[in-house]
Order: sequence, then C-alpha cells, then structure tokens
Amino acid sequence: MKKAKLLGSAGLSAVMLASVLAGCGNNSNNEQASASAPAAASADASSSASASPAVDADPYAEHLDLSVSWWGIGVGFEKHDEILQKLEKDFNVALKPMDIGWDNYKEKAQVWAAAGQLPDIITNSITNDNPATYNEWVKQGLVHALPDDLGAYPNVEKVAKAPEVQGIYRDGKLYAIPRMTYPNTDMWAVDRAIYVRKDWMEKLGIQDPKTFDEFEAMLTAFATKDPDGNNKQDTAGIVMNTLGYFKSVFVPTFPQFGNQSWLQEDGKWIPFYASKQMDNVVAQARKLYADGALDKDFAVEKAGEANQKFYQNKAGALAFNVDSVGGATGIRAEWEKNNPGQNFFDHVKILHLWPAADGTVYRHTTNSWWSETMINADVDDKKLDRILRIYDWLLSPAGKELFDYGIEGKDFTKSGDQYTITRPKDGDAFIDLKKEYPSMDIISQLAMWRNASAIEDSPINRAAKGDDVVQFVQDELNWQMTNAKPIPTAFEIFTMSTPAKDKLSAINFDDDFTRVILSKDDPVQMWHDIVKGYDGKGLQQAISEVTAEMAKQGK
Amino acid sequence: MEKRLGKEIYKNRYLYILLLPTVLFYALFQYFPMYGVLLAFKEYHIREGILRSPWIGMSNFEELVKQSEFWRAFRNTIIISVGRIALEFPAAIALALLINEVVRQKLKKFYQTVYTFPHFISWVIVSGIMFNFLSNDGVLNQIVAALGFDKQTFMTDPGLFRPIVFLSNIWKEVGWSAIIYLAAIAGINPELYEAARVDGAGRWQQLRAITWPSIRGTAAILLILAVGNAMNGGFDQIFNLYNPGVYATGDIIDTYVYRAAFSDGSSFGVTTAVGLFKAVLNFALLYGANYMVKRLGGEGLV
Repeated sequence: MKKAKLLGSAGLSAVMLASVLAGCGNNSNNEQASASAPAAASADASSSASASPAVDADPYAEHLDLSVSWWGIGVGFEKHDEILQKLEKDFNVALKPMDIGWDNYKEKAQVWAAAGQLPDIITNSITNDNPATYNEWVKQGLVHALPDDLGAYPNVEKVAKAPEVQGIYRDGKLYAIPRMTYPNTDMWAVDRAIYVRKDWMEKLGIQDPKTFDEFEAMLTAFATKDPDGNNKQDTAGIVMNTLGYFKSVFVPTFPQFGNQSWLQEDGKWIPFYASKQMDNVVAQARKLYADGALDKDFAVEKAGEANQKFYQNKAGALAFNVDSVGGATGIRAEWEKNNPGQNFFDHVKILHLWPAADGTVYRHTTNSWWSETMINADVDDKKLDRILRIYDWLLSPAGKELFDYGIEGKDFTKSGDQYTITRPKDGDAFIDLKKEYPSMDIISQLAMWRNASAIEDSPINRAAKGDDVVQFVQDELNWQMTNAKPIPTAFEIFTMSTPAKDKLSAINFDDDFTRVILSKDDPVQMWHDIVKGYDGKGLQQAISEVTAEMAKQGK
Repeated sequence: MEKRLGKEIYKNRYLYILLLPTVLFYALFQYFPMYGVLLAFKEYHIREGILRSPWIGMSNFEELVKQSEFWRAFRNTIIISVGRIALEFPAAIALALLINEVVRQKLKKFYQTVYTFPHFISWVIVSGIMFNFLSNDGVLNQIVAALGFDKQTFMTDPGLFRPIVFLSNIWKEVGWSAIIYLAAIAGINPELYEAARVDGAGRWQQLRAITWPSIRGTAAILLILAVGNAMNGGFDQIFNLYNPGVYATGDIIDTYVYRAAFSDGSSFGVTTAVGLFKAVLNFALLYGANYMVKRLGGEGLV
C-alpha cells in the first residue's frame, strides 16, 4: 500500500512536470506567434496603406513604440521634457527607455541578448571595444543590417561611407551606426588631460616636470609634503576618473599604451601589452603606487568617485579630459562648490606631458568613433525606416541647432545667421540647457557624440559656459596642435577581425595591470608571467594572423 | 492494482492537493530550468536558443581545464569554503550558547536583535560601509596613522582579503544563523536543567550535559547543508568586496564565471560547464558529509 502511495505521488509529480513542460512549450510557441504578429499587423497596415495613397505619403502616419537603451536614460527621460516631447511628436513615436549603467552596460546587453529582450535601439560599444562580440552578434543574427541604399537618409549615409567605418562592414553589410566622436582624429587630443594644482606646485617650489622622474617626485611631494598646510598626511598625489584616463601618464614612456593600439615590433604587429616597452610602464606604475604618488584606493573606487578627492583638496592631480572642465557638474563647478569664493583657474592648470624618448611630445588619438547604435534584428521595416529617419535628423544641422540653442521661440530667436538667446540666466551664464531638458544629453548624443560641438569656440558656447571655460579649452587644443603629435596608431587594427584576435577579448588587461600595480612582487617579472599566460589565450596566433593580414595590405 | 491506486489517491486527494504547490514550485523553478545545463555540451547561439544550439561534446570542459584562472578560482573556492565551515559555522553556535546564558530576558532580546540586524543590510551597502572603514583615508587607517604606524592597504592586500571576508560575514550573518540554534535551545525541557541543578551541576556542566547534546542534531544537519553548499563560496559578498588586487586569494568560481561570461565575452557554454562541474562537486560533498555524520552516529538527511 505504501508503495502504491509512493508510486501515486511520483506519478502525479511526473504528470504535473510534464504538463508544466508542455505549458512552457506552449508558451514559447505563443511567443513566436506573437513575435510574428506585429509583422503580420504591419503587413496589413502596409496593404491598407497602399490602398489609400494619402497615408502612404506620410511616413509618420502610424504611431510606433520604440525601446531604446542609454546610460542613465531612466533618469533623463523621467521628466518627459519638451525636447523629448518634440522628438516623439515630430516622428510620431513613443520612446520607451531601457536603462544601462556605465559599470555594466556590456554585461546587460549580453544578458538581454540571451533573454531575447534587446531594445529596438541598442546602445553598446562592441564595434571597437570588442570586435569578437560584434562578429558574434552579426553571425547569430541579433542585429539588423542597415539597408544597402541609405540614400533616403543622407546624414546616416555619410557616416556609413566614412573610410574608417568600412572596417566594420561584414559581408558587405553594415550592422551598426558608429557614434562618431569628432569629425577628425586630431580632436581626440582633448580627451585626455591631467589637471594639477598649480598653487600647490608654487607652494612646494615645483616646476613643470620634464621627465617621468620629475613627475613622480611632484606627485610624491603632493602626498607627503603637506601641500594644503593642515599638518596632516591626508593628501594623495594623483587620482583618476577612470583607469583609461590615467593611462595617458605613461604616453611619454610608451606612446601606444595611451590608446591601447597595436604596433610593429621586430617585424611583427603586436598588441601594446605584448611590447617590450611594457616593462618600463609597469615599473613606473608600481613606483607611483608604492611611493604614495598614486591614490592608494584607485583599485576599489568606482568610476568618478575619486574626482571628489581632487575637488575637496585631498589630491594634487586628476586624470580626466579637457571637455569635462565646463558644465554644471564639470570639474570647475565641482571644485568651486568645494572651495567657495575661489576661482578654479587661479588654482588649477592642465599639466602637459613631457617628450618621449624620440624627443616628440605625443597627444591622444584613437578611432574616430566610440560606441555605436545597433538595431534589433526583430525590428520590422516600418520601425527600421522610422529609426533611420530619426537618426538622419539627429545628425542633421537642424538637430545640431536644437541641441546647441534649445527650442526656437522659447530659448532663442533667429534672424538670418544671427541667434539671440532668450533663455534665463543663472548668475553670469545662461541656464544650462541640459538642466532645463534632462533628456537633451541623451537624445543629442544618440547618433553622435557632441564633443566637437561642446569644445568649439562659438557664441553659444561662450554664452553658456562662460568665456574663461571656452578659452581654457581652446588654449589647450591649440597647444596640443602646435606642440604635440598624435600617437602613431594603426587604426585599421582596431576593427580588424581574425579568429585568434577575436579571442583576445578574453584578456582583461586592466585587471592584470591593476594587479601588478598593487602587488609587492617584482612588477616586470609579474608582467612577463602574465603575458606568458596570454599565450594560452591565443596571443601568438593572433600576432601571426594580424601580421599576415597587415602584410596583405602592404604594411 | 491500477484501480486501487486511483482509489487510494482519490481517498487522500486533499493531501495530494496540499502537496501540489510544492511539487509545482520545484518542478517549475528547480527542475525545469535544469535543461540549461545542456549548454555545457553545446556551442551557444543566442538566436537559436539552448535546445537548437549545436552539440560540441566535451570541448567546453577541455577549454576550461586549460585556463589557469579557473584553477586559481577552484583553489580559492575550496579554501574559502573550508574557512567558512571552520570559522563561521561554529561562530553561530557559540553566539547562541552565549546569548542563552544571558539571564535577564530583556537583555537577551536586545543582544539577539543587535546581532540579527546586520543580516538585513545588503552586501552592496555593507561593502560601502567597509570601504569607509578600510580605505586609505578610512577610520581604521586614521587610527593606525594617529598611533604612528604606516597606513595599510586593507582592501587590496591579497593576504588580508580572506580574513576580511570571514570577519565581515560573521559580523553580518552570525546573529541570523544563531536563531535556529536558539530555537532548538528554547525547545529543551526546563525540567532537565532543574534536575541538573538539584544534582549540583554548574552552568558549564549544564551546557555540556544538556544544552549541547540537545542542539547537536540540529548542528549536524546544518553542517551537512553547509558542506553541500561549499562550492558556492558566497558570490554576493565576494563580488562586492573584491578587486583585481585580490584575485589571487579572493576570486572564487562564481565570480570567475560571472566575469568570464559577461565582461570578457567568453562563451556561455564554458561558463555553464563550470556551473555543472561545481554542482557535481557540491552533490558529492553533500553525500560525503551525510555519510560521515551517519557514520559518527548522528542522524543524516537521507
């Protein structure tokens, strides 16, 4: 009897399990059915559209929901401000925000991809950061190819036809709209800057460093010689916004380290981390850390967290970029908030790098875009057309005008080429448009970074940011163009894809570099061991493949 | 036979209905997702899903054992788990026994609440608090500096990471874990203590002769469960506390899998293989511990 009961409950469980499985099976069928439903619906719509030509003439007749991911979009879209309303109204869409964070956006994209929940408009940075994943996504059909003929969207077409973008075509098709940073690779020079407390330098009698050793000595003095005069050892030498900005410190030692590119050494093309020049970099980085010149907590701080130390007079230098000086939450504003009544420019300057071994001062440069928009493969033609129309407008002069000046009639008036700004002032400067319209920062940068706009010497920038900020940025840009040369860079390898090179994405350089800095063992020996470990991930194979590919291109 | 079985089920239908939600829960959330382990033997294609991705045999496992990071994570997982069982597991018993010895009821409740509270703070918050204590300008280093010693890098020193993990987990979880022992102690017949006192037993003798034997069975079962969980190592805690500086001693299998699967763009197949590997080991450990407890005269789980 007991056995029968046991059998009974087991049988019952089995039946239920089976029904559950069947239920799930049915669910997935339903999902497929519902996935194809919009396609069917749009087919209906288009047939009815062709029946009435009036509807056909208006490409915006049908209201569409578009989901879009962006860093911090949840907060930016929360207010549903007028810029967002205008975009949604003009293009007859409703934008559904899907939030990503700077710390985890690549992970989130992978998770969404695995769960089949990618947004319609995907923000990611795999075309240049991780070509292997880009290839994978293309191969697995996760993302939509752009139409071969982009004639209807001339501004998008211009991006797609840019020579450096050709490297991310796969089988003749483009699967991403690269988010261009600057119109040329020169302007990248201002994407790196080392801010330094010139008042502290004066107080300690320190001149601008001409070598790494002098630089090291300066930072160590910041940490140990009590530059703020409070009789406490509570200051750090240099802090960083993120590790990427800090790397520029080693550009004079090893130029290609600064933009993490490949270089030719002993007749082979190798990634920067395999170079002999890394020995000097790791030794110097360790010395900075061991002497207290480098912020002791850099490895445990989150992005941007350490900036506070610079703002609060707890650090003598900050590795970041030039552009971030301005704006309501920029370096200047934050610093002055913590030092009321003092002028930022009286206390802080940008420290220029010293010449490399060949006597040249190098400045930062890299690929002309960073990150990209991809379109979900499940998007139908109607949605694709609408998205491309939006992007074409975002990239147009009309879009730039909106993002530079705000809404016509409310924020500015125009007669001919003359713009008159009518928005209210906050102190000396006009109120920040990005504060007025929280969605602006996001919408304006969906299709391209506005870095060039932000640093150009224009009346609007002078009005919005103040003359001193614009002058500061211009002076720095001019200095770099006059005195420095771009890091010699093999741009074509950034997006090159070979089987073994793609696998190198499993190497987490930043983690290994950080580990070497923090350790107490001999840094050079440690680094050699780490690179030996990279061989297990296919480093040598990747080097041969890339070298062969470059030879094919005659380089 | 068939008929009798049906009859039998019908007779006990209410019991079966009572059983239903639990069986459903396990089927749906524990057994059904298990088909995902197929990925360990497949090359995962996102669009094709788990079932339609192509089979590739054992090559995911072959790739795995070639990676030195995996073996490092494996070693760390074992060391941290053994440490947890050796240090954190007895801590809860000790706390329960100590709280039980507090005579004043109000004070007893007070201590119990104070010790239990940290359990409800998430690791994200705890790691932030710990950063404030242990960073270069943190409270601890300020004390160290005021006493004239050199500041220490508590958070990035590989040698200190494991002690920090154990101590912080004890701080956070010891009160919560002690509850089950306190409950067991509360169930002891007070007459036993009275009799012991009449016989002249002191408090230490009472603890040894009455309290401990009464909770030993509970402890044994919890020990088996803890051993069965050994390969997990506590992802939540480690993930929030670690940094590249302490990978050498702190990177456990779960954190390694997380990084490999999501950050470094490694394949889901390989990382599922790791998960399966871990589960098999956990299963073996659980069985081993159960066997040991039974051998030693205790009551096992199965």
